[in-house]
Amino acid sequence: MSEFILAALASLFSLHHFLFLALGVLLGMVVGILPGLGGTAMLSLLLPFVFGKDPTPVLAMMVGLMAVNNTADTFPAVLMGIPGSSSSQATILDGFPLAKRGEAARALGAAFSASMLGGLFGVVVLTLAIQFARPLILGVGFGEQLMLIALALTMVGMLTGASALKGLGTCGFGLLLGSVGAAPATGEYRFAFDTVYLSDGISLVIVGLAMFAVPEVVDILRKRVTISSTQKLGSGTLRGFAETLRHWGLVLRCSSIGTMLGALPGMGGPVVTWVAYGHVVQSVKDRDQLGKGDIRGVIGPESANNADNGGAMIPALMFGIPSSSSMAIFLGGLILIGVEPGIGMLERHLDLTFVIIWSLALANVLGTATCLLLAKPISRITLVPFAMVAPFMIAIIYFAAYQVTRSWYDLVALFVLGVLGVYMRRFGWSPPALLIGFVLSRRLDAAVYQSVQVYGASFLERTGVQVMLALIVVSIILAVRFKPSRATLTPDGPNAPVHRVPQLVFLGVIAACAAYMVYESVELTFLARVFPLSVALVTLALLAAVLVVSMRNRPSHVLYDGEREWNEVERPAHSPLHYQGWMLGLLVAAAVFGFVLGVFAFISVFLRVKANVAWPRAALAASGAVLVLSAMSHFLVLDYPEGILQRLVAMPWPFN
Amino acid sequence: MNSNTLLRSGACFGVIAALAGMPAIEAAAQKVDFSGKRIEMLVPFTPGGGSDIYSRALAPFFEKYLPGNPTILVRNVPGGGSIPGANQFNSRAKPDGLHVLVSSSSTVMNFVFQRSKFELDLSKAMPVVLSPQGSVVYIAPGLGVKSIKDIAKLKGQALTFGGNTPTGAEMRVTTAFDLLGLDVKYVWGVERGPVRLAFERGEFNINYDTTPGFLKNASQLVKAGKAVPLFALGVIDETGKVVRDPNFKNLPSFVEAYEAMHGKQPSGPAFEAWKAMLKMGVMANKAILLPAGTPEPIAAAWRTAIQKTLQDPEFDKKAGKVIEGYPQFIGESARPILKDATTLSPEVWDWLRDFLKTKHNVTLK
Repeated sequence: MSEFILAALASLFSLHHFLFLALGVLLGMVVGILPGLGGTAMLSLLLPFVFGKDPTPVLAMMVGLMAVNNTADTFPAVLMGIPGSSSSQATILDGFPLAKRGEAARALGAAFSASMLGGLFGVVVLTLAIQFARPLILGVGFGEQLMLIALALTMVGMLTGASALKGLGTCGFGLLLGSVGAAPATGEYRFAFDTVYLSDGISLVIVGLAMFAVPEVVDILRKRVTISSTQKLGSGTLRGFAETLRHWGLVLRCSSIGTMLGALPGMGGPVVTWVAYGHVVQSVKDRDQLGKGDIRGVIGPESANNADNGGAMIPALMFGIPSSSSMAIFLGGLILIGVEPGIGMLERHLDLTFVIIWSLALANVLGTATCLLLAKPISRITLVPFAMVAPFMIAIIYFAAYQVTRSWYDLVALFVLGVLGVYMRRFGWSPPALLIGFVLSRRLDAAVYQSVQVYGASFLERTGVQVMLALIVVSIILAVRFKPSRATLTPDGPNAPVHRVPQLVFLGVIAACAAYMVYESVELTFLARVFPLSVALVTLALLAAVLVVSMRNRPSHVLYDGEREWNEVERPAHSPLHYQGWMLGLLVAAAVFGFVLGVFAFISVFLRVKANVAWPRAALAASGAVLVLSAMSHFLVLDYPEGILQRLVAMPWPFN
Repeated sequence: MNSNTLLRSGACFGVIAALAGMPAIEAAAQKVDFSGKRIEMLVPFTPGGGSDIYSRALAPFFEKYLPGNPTILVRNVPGGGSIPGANQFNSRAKPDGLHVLVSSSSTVMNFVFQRSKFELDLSKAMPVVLSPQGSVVYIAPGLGVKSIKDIAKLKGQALTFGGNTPTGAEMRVTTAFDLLGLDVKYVWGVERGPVRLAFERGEFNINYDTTPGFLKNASQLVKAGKAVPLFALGVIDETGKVVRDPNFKNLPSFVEAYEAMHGKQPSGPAFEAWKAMLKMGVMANKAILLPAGTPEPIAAAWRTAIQKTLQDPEFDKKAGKVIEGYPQFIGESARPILKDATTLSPEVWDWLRDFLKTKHNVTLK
């Protein structure tokens, strides 16, 4: 085998191969930085070129593109709190607070170096394990999958926020949101209101944007002048790099989690990073800073999500099962040139397998190096007055949401869930808890049903299941003993038992949603109903407990209203509603003028009104955004939402 | 299963037959000129899926053979079982030859089973080409069945089958299992790839794959002695008869499997229902459609382009895998199949309703 590894290395560094790989990395960076796009649009454009005379450089480019997806998406996550892809959501929890402290460069330095080490770790494991991976993967049956999902779910114990009751309730609500769409057991549409849009369920990308990006934008617009609270970028990239090296144990553990979960079909990106983050909280001492800007909270998920790339290659190459649409396109490319991934891939194409694996490693290093170079200059964006950045960010958030199914409903879903996200933040309901529930919901529902259907109760007798059951017990014990760091209770602070109406109304709305789901479940067949019904009932019980505790007349962590953190003097000039109004403004502008012209109008007006930019310069800046949108539409074959205007008159490109 | 040469010649024959009327078409097509135009191929699925690869493999050849060498843009509108994509095509595409829709068997099935949500009338669209794709049913060796001859041994054995949804593409095999009288336990909510894994793990013991999936992966399981191919569903010939799949001449068709099991020819509404599933899932597996009312010269230009593509040795060499050598139905020859697949008789509807209700506890609206 070693001669194949060496031969692969040699061909990797042949100038031809290297150049195309580097080109792929570069393209991947460009599309990776923009949230929502991911590599798929670009990869599918490359696909027809494998029909060309020499397909190998195209494959090298494809690998380059894929490898840096999870690296470049860290930029928007750390710098703006926008999840660039679903697998960078957990990075925001600590990465963005660091940026807000003026330590963006440090956070990025740590993130990129962790990404690289994680990626390389994944590749090494892949190289060593590839001969034995097959029986290992075949050992994980439906029962083991169920246990893994349950184990992942226990991570919520670490992410409940200040109030465990509310955290668990939020997780339940996340599970319910995730059960919208076709039921795994019967294909019946649940809670879809007879629409086509909801029949696929709500998209993780949109939930992520709504839970993290939207509340951040609103919050910063209200409270701050710039993202960073200091005007210096502070100690930089290299310090972050050094910190990653210092926490090598964490990198190793999270990379292992990433590779293992990545190798199992059906777990994949978003699960991996949340489990890794949960593990960070579980395993480190002095947790006071976690969630508020702890560098370890960046290192963990980032090493995991790149290690996941290596892991995901195992089912892809050995079983022909892609874990993401990028991987599906790549496999499509392989098939078109006559390489059949799947059983026997190792016997037939061991050399090519190693070229792919080591291209992945090389692309990781190249991508990291580029990102590290760019980290400091790009970090300067956190020093720019936020009113200048915000309209572009809002446009980017909507753009990212629209990439999900390319329909108007995506934009509406983002806005509606964004309102939920803003109030969850105000009243202290943990977004990560909701995300964990949401990500695992369908998987849990399907795995419970499938395990019982295949094995009956006997799946509990399998050794693998019992081992994981033990791990689950350990994880639950850790969660129960876990004391989140929380603010001290004061009689007149945000946890005070006064002016409770707003939070009780919010509680009521959540409870009403859960109650509605109970009501709707009646119509469904048993197999379609059993999961959402049980979750809804448990959630309602938790919410009832929250209500009981809230009604007591003493401060408690269950009570929280972010609006009570200030006294009358400090209170920001505008309420969250004000900026949600602005967000709605873009939606309305797009509905009238179409997305491109709507963005132009929105940015110009926002810059004029909120950032006091003179009209001509505001219009110029907005034209810049239009230019970028047009370029993407041209090169990546994207279209944008139409407005009433486009229905009435034929507009020239790019306004159509 | 070395029927490749036979198959290619079969495909060639199909193409040649279709070429008989070509000169007239070509003359009409010459008036059309797409030079400098951008043509949009709407794929109502995610990038990387079967329909996407199919479209992207064909796209460069359309660029080569459509008059004026236009640029072809593949645009994905994913989700909703391809309903949103099809509806978007319906509202936006003009009959100017610059818009085509790529449909798959799930588009056709959703058109039939969720008609109220469909704004596009699939049966009225103008087919450019219809590309069938076969399916092979295989079982675990532990069941003791070596070939179709001892299929009767399957009766009464506990079989477990995994699939995506009871009302989806898998109906072409679930109805077949029902007709064979097999005792199958169904496990839903599992995608094709993981299903194959679970089959290899031994959690499922009866499974199927489309031709590319079978040739790519399951055939390796067969070689390793971990799977026994039972029958291929088969294809429908010009006379409407179900015949053996040209890719698997050595495997019996479902009709032969039925005869081996029951000692008589299948007939009646149950068989008609299965045939409808075969038309949707196998015969109409992939199609490229122009909007209804596209002027004849434009449609002719598209038909000529696909004909030339199929004759192009370059296509055969580089992208032939996407059609796997099945006879391709060009232009109007595709319409009856599409129409047949989308129009079910009341008896067939009744049977399907009853089948889904009693066997899968699903109520069709």
